Amino acid sequence: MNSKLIKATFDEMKSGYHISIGHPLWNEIIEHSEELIEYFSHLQLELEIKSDIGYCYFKTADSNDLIDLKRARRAVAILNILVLEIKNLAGDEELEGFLLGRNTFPLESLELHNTGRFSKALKQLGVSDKEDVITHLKSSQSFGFHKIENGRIMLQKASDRIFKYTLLEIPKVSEMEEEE
Amino acid sequence: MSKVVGFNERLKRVSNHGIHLKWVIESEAKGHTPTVSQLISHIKATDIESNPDFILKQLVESEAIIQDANLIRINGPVTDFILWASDASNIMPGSRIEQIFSEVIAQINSIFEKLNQDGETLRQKGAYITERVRDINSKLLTLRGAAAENVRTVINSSSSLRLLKEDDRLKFIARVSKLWEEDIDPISGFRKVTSDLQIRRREARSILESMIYSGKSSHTIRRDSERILELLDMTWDRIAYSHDIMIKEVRPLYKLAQRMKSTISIVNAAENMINHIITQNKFTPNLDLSIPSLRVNQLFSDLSIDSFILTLGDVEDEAEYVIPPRASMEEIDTINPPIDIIELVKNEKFIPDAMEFVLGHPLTQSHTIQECAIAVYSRRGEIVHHFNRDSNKKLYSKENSDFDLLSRPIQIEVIV
Repeated sequence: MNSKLIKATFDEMKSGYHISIGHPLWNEIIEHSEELIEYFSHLQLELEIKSDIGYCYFKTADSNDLIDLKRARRAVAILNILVLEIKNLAGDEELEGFLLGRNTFPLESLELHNTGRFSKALKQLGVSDKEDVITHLKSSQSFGFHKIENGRIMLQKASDRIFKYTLLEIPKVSEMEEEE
Repeated sequence: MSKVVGFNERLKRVSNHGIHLKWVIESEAKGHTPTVSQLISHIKATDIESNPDFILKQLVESEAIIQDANLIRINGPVTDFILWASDASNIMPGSRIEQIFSEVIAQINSIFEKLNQDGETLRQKGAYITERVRDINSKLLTLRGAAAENVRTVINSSSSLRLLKEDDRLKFIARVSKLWEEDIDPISGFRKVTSDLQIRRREARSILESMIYSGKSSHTIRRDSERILELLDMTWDRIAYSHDIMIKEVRPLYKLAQRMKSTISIVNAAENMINHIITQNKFTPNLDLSIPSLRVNQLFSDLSIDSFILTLGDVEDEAEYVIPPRASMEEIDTINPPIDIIELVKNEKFIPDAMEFVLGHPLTQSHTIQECAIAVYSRRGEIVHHFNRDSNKKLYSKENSDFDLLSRPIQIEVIV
């Protein structure tokens, strides 16, 4: 394993970016996965490689080093609302293609604030209009969950993390209401 | 001696009592072998005018069903016929196939035990063995029939399932999942080389081979053993072959169903998230996802981490270093002892330029500038270093040193 790979991996992912299959570094990371994991563990960085799904990322256990809560909430919520919007716009099959990273959608066609529930949730998170949605989608590309090319948005394999998190960690609203 | 039933009579009996035969088939498909009394109860319940014992006798005589002690089993070809006639052919589930194989192996073991039992003549043993052989043949025939029927059903149903995908996605997911998880996947389990059934099958093969060459076996037993061995292998191969075809046919559908299931879960979770944001808004993805920010712990500059990584990355293992023997012990006397900074500063409170102080100290005159620098910059509990980033750099030198040191002055405060 050469030091260039270590440096390139570190430079790419130190600020929370996720590398998905298809990235120029992906094959080399897979080839040297064990050595990289061992190496970064000494820097208190947990390199997680989901080779079966096709993405990798750094995790840190220290809450001082985490990304800002508001930014993380917006990134998670906007991607989830996007899923619902695409289901409404294009149907189940198109949505499946989008989740697999095959289909892309023009950013301009996404009117998340046109649906009452979506708009209410977005406003709770401080995303007030369509322009705000696009700004956040563009800035949250730095996490590597999605990318925008030629005005079209597509999901990367790493978005699996967001959807797993949503599925497993967000308490069921009905259950919470019962508890209250 | 049982009554011989001809073609017309057989057909008539299967036709008259097809409904009961179908019930037995459905019970077997659920992995349950009905008992005689259960069949009689079923006949009584569905046809109160009938004579259940008479119907049972008729079905056994015509060999449509086989009575094995207290259990009832349908002859393989009759199963195919009834399923064909009812236009509801079903896949024999993997668990049922495994169960029938287990029963065949148990029968082979019981034949072997009987053959080696003392106190009975070969003729007496022969009668028992013939009965078991007949049952084994029937079961293996059932399995071969099931193998063919399974393939036929899967191929027929896969095209209708593809159509169903467009009409009713949930039904498609349910049917394909059932087909894969209940009918196909269990077969993959027992086909593994290390599975319990495979181990018992290999043992049964050894038993059959030993019976073929055993001096205790009669000509008939040898011939039957040879035949069962051949049929056992053939049946296993047919099941394996049909299983491979079923996998090839259903795997793409199963993958599709899994993807659809995953999409449904994602959509449901997203709906829940919106409700959660609107009603609670308490989620903390930054903690759960643990995505790092720009710098870890703010401990290192990017440059120092890069340097650390690059330097360590190039380190290569070297051969073990062997310390050479010292030519003369006199050399030791010329080696400077390490400078103890605490000893030097014991009468001081604050030293504005520690490097200058150490370089000029009487105890360090024979030391090099490097040794003095180590003493100044070493962290000790009794002193505190102070350092002003805005101060100008200063050049330090020493007569006996090859190097000069360019650095900002460092102050030392003695706290003891």
